[in-house]
Amino acid sequence: MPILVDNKTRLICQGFTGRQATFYSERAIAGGTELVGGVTPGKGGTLHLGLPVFDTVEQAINETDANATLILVPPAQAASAIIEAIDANVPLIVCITERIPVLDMVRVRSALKTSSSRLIGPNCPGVITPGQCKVGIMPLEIFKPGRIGIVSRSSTLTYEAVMQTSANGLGQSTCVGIGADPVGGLSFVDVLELFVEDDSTSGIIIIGEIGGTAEESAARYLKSNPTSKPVVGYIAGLSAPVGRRMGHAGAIQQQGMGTANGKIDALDEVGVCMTRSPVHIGRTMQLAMSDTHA
Amino acid sequence: MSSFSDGDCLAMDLTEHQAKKILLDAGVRVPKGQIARSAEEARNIVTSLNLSDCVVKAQIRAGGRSQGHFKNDSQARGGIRFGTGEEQVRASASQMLNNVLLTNQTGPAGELVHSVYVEERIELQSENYLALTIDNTTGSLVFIASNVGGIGIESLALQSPEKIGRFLVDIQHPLVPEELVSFLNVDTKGAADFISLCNAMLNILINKDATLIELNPFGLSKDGQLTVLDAAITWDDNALFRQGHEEQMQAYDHLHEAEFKAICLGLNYIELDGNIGTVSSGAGLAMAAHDALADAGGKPANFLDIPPSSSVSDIQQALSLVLVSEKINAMLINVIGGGIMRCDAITDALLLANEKQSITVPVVARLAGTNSVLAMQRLNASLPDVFVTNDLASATSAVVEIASKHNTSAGKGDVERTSWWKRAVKSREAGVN
Repeated sequence: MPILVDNKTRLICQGFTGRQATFYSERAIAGGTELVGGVTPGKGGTLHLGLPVFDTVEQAINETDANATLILVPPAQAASAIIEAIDANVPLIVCITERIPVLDMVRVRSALKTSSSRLIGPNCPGVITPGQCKVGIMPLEIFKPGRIGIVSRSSTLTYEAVMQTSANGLGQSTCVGIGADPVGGLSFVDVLELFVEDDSTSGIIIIGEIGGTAEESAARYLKSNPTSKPVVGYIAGLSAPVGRRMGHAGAIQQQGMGTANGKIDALDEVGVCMTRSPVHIGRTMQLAMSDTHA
Repeated sequence: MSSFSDGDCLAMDLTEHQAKKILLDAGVRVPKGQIARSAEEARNIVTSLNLSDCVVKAQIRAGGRSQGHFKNDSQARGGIRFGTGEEQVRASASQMLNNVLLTNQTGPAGELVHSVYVEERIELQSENYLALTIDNTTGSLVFIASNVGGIGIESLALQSPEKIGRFLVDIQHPLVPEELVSFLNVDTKGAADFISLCNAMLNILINKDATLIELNPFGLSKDGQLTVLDAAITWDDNALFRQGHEEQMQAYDHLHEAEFKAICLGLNYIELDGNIGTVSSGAGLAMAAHDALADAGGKPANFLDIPPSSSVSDIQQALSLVLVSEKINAMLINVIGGGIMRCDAITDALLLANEKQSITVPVVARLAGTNSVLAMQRLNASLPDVFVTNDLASATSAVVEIASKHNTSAGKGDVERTSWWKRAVKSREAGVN
């Protein structure tokens, strides 16, 4: 059983009749995802792409039995779209929208506290189990069903790792883009927990970047929950110059963490095979896999 | 907090006097003072505000000023100086203005001082620290507080973390935590004023979409009034569509022209000091390209990522932003096409950019993902000089080699800032969908 999405996923799309949502919905259907309808306030009762449109998420869930929603609405409305999905108890919420005001995401996190919904994103490419279900905007043609689980903060770096693991034949079990925003839904740790338990995943690739402490938390998790599956890591931003910063609060909160080298060392220490170049992610996993099976 | 990581990049910082103006408007007591852009103006403030003991403070968008130093100052004096009388104030201002101040927060480039703030010198009975910001791990608002304020706050946090208190606030019920009041040992007499101060911070952060409000130091003045001596505020750039007024715009007037244009276009652009122009799809892939360039011995001239929702005209504007740069010897386009932004959109955008201003630097285009083959064929037919590949490693090694051989300069575009700004706000208001 793959994680998060599979051939039992029934998807609706919020912002369904918009230009971007139409584009991605067409591709999702073509790729075999079971899209069962969508939501655009004011357009309830109409058909779009041959599928029913509803005014609210609650109506859509009641009528279609959907268990996942893909949110493709502009930044100003995105947080209320997520909160509407939380209120309707949608088990999996994937929000692609980038540039959502951070305080809106603070409100979303507050709403998630008392909910069992899982949120992926925002500012992410979504989640895909190749060959079964895609909830997101990633290009289908680069994926190949296989055994590697990929979790990444960056959309396009996910694609880089996907292309390399498709090229060397390993393929992917599930790929989760958790998004690059400072405040979002599922974290590295949440997804690692799922991959570690997942029978269809034999190796895990974790792709982080400078800033924040999410990678350090992932390292702490792997330390207290060692896994026999090989884990490969890459941290983007090794060559990034020291930036300007404002005030002390950021430094106080990071407690000296957040640098590329700090993250690499933290993950390396707990047995993650780190590659310092983005062009070697696939090869590093191949080596790690053959070591494990040797 | 300007760095490559997505969340931080867009944050816009205010200078001290801009931050203090906002606090003052919210009823917070700050020392009386005024901004000066020349040494003469600084001198005149002493008389016009009737100041005796004064502080002259370099206005940059970073802290650590008193411990910093100026680039062309052999005496290595800092960016905050005390003085009495017109002549001392004038002299301090004249040493600071148009000089580059380096502090532990500016990064190695430092920041040019365009203005100084002249204010009355007030001494506090004790210096305290208070910040309201967002805790990324829990996704909550958080007050960070300490009874030991001032310049040593960061090392204090590492050495004596127990002296720093953290108090989460639920945005749905933004109340001042009682534990915060007791942690800072605020006495019963001062509690009302302190709680109003905290509420003013909560109101500014929530209503104006700030991501940081920091008071350091603040405390009771000798005459017993709760006073803020220094303040920092950072706006959330993502909230400009609902906050895009004058106050927020001030945060942009220090930016490099290309950086400002990029913000107006909704792009993530940082000026760097190398000679290879770069454009990537997505910040993560952009960072990876920089890492790969560094590995191959190259130096990027800029950081720029284009979001996946970009249209051909958006991409053309992004490409042109880099192509007009005088300092680039070669350009790397690094794209994995997906979703709406397919590789052929990049080709179309590059052709459009060439029509607007012919491309004079060698271009290496790494085009992978959706419609990669089509895009490469079209590029080969229309712009045969462009080096195309679908592989990041060969693209970076090619562009580094070309950049080291090629030397040319292209013309530089010039567009007035306010018109960019207005256009950008208009297109934001129109929505993206």
